[in-house]
Amino acid sequence: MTGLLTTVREVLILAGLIGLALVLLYLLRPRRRRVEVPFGALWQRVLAQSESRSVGKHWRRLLSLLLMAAIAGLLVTALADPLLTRAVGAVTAGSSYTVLILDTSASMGTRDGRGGRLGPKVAGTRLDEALGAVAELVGKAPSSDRFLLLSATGHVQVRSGWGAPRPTLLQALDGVQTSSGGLDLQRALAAADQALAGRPRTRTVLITDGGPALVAPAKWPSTLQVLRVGPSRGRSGAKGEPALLPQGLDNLAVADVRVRPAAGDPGRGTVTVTLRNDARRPVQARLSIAASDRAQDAQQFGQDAALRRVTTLTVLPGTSRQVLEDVDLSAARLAVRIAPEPPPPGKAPEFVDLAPYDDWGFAVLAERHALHVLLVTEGNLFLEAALLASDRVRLHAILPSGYKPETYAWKERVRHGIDVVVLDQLTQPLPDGMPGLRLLLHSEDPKARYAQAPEVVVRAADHALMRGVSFQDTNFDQIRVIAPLPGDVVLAAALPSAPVMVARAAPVRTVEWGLDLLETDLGGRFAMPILMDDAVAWLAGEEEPLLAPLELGRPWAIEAAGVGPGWKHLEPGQKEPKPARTSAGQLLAASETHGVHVWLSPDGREVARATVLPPAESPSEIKVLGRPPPGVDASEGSDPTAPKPRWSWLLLAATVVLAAEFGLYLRRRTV
Amino acid sequence: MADGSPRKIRDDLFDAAFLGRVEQLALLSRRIATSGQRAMRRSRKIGSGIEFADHREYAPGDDPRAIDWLLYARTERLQLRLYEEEEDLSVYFLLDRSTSMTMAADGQQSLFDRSLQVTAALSYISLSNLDRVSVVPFSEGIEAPMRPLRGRSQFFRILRVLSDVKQGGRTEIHRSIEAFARHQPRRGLVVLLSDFYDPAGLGDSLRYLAFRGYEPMVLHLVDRSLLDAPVLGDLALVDCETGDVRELCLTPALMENYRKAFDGFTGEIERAAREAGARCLQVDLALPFDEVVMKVFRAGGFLA
Repeated sequence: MTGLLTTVREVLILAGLIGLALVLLYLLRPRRRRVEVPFGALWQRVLAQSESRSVGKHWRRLLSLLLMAAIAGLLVTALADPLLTRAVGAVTAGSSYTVLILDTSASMGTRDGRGGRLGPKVAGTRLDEALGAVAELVGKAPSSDRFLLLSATGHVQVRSGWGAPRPTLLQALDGVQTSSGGLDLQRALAAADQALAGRPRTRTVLITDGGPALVAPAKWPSTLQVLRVGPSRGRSGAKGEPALLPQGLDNLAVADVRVRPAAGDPGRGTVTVTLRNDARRPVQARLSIAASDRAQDAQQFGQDAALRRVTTLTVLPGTSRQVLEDVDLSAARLAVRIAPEPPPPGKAPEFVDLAPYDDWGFAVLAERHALHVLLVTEGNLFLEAALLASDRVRLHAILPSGYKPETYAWKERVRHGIDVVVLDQLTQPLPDGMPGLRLLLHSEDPKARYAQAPEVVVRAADHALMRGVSFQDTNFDQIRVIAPLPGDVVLAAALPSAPVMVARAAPVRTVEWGLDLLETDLGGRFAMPILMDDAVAWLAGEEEPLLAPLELGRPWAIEAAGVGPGWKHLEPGQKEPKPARTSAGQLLAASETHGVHVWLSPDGREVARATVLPPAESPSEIKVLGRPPPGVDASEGSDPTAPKPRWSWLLLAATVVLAAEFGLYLRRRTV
Repeated sequence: MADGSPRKIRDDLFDAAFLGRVEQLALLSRRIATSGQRAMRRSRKIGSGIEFADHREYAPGDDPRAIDWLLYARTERLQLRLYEEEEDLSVYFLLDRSTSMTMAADGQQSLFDRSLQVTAALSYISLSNLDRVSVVPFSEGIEAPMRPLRGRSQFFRILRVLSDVKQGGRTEIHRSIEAFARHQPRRGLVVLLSDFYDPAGLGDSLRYLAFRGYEPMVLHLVDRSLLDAPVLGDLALVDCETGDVRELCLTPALMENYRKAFDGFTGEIERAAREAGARCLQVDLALPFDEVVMKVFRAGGFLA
């Protein structure tokens, strides 16, 4: 923006100076003597005759014509200068050092077109087209040219060095394959810049299908040319937002996988799959869900995993969501695959998925840790039974007389090992810094309000603590109305609006119930153990069953207990694990292999995480590269703050000559 | 134009010497008239004069007093005697008063003043011949025309009218002549005194006059002293009537071209007059007014 303003200011100053000069010239021009004549028309006739007869006029007209031709030439040269410069640059690049950056991100594996019966078949992928472009560029270059071939995704790999002969370079192209990661353009350009440092006549050529939308990288090479392949070929993508392919692309993709265990039954649950149909028509497809405790990639899930569900469905164009309920979640690793419905025998498929790399989605369920709960009660068996019903709760019950808040404070947690505190009908406070649940009907507060035989309803059904819970037909003899603080979430309330259950997230997660289980039949209801299990999980911060996926192509840092030397990383598709990189109690890694990555501790524990494709690798998007910084001669567009190119000065010169010629014309017209 | 109120006569134009010269011209004109040129101009009209012209068949409604009874006695046919009607000649002086007529070289008389003198002299001669005389100044049109005057005693009224003509305006001859024809239905001799600096030209106007039954006569007033450029070089020529400005670099060659163009222009005026059947005289400002009058006499068509 600042650059734009600077340019505008310069143009305004220049225009002002020119205008001032013109005004001065106008004021200083020689004044003509005014002579009154009786019949001006006669003079006009004389002038017309004189002009047509004069031989000198012909020469002056010829001169004027030549001047006009010169102006036209200047204008054409000025307008064509960017193209000429590029062409000349292409020619003179014969003796230069060129870094070829080959985009091998996931979207380069896409075959463009519309396969199947509905469209022409496309033989190769975008990578094939890019490889052809590289081979052509190298083949046309003079033999004195030097090339460095890099393949770039999230990391940069040297495929052919400066000294490699041409056949070796072309041979290196054969081994280039796409990955599942996205393109880190900044890293690729930095690598090119390093490789070109100190060399004369350098050039960087990026061969890509558009790459991710980037803002200006910190450091661009001095010259950059972009060869676009795929649907963005021939497009100027420097401005504007990424756009979808107007004709669509036959591709089905799994964009996201979410899992929610059933309330009270963590072995089963609901799987929500977000699907994307890049074609412009509904597609009959088959959605399959597989689960396994060992499989890591698509191949292993296809062979070893237990197939949990296969659903035939119609995927609408765009993004749609499919919810599959009551899925067996007994295995921790899930794989979801979308594929077009196979055609009947003997028939050609109507839909051929042109980008198969995004057909799979993976998910890993969080480990269900044992949670230590301190229950302080006078012997409320309903409460105790509800907690014991949970398979993850390790219950420590004590009497109120033995409860001292300071003993169970958070800072003493290493000693007492309690995760959550539950106080039943105690007016004493919760331990400092400890998450806890308080059930209290009779408060010491004289202003406390109560309700007799109220009808209680759930107010926050979406809250993690109230999933699957209903108070329908549940009787309450008496409840205490809780006054919520700002930021509190009212979980349940007595009608019309008397809060009974309130959750507070900060500074420590706490839940308050204004009731006594002895004065309600809630304790005997099926909802009670669900409610307590969800409450304990929420209070312990483990309410989310699904571990966040790792984005391919980006560096990862995974927090896990006991991380240190000796840990190993087993990537999908590998048989033997490799030593893992660790730092500050975190597992560090970067990979472009789609699937479930596993880290193994020396004592046999394992940490598993699923991966997700970079969102920018959608094959149906025409992406932009972002704006190059000042001074970069990128073919993606010009920068307003860049120094003014030569053609702008040529244009200015042509304009000045045009103005001069116009003045001469006026001068001649009067004689 | 009101012609009844007393106005002052311009002494610089119509002084005693002028009046004496005019009287001499009138005498000279009678001599020229009796030398046989009378019939050249006068057209005759059959009517109630005293000179017999012809007979024609009697028709009901004719005046029985005009029946030639002697002829009836001889032929037993009723015939009427027809006499030639002597009609007074109307002479109209259409006087250009536009701005271009007022231009003059330093210390010289303008075309306008010269046209006033010529008009006065010719008017006196016409009044002396008992013709009806009317002076009609024009530029972009005409003012309310004066009543035609007859008799030598009206000469000073003519001089007052001429002295009172206001100068200015653009030359639009055709429009002025159309207005003149509307106001003066009586046919007669129309003497046009002008520099004819009208972009629309003169031909249509003369043809129009002839079509309406008038007898046009063109006195083209020219001032050749204006054909010599006062200064050469870069000039802005301003049309004195329209105000249009033309910038040029005036060179002797260009000035020569202008003279040629002017000659072509005068040729156009003469050609237009010839095509309309009008007499055309070019009146150079360098000629004294009495020579101009004599030139008119010699050209014929003016003296009765």
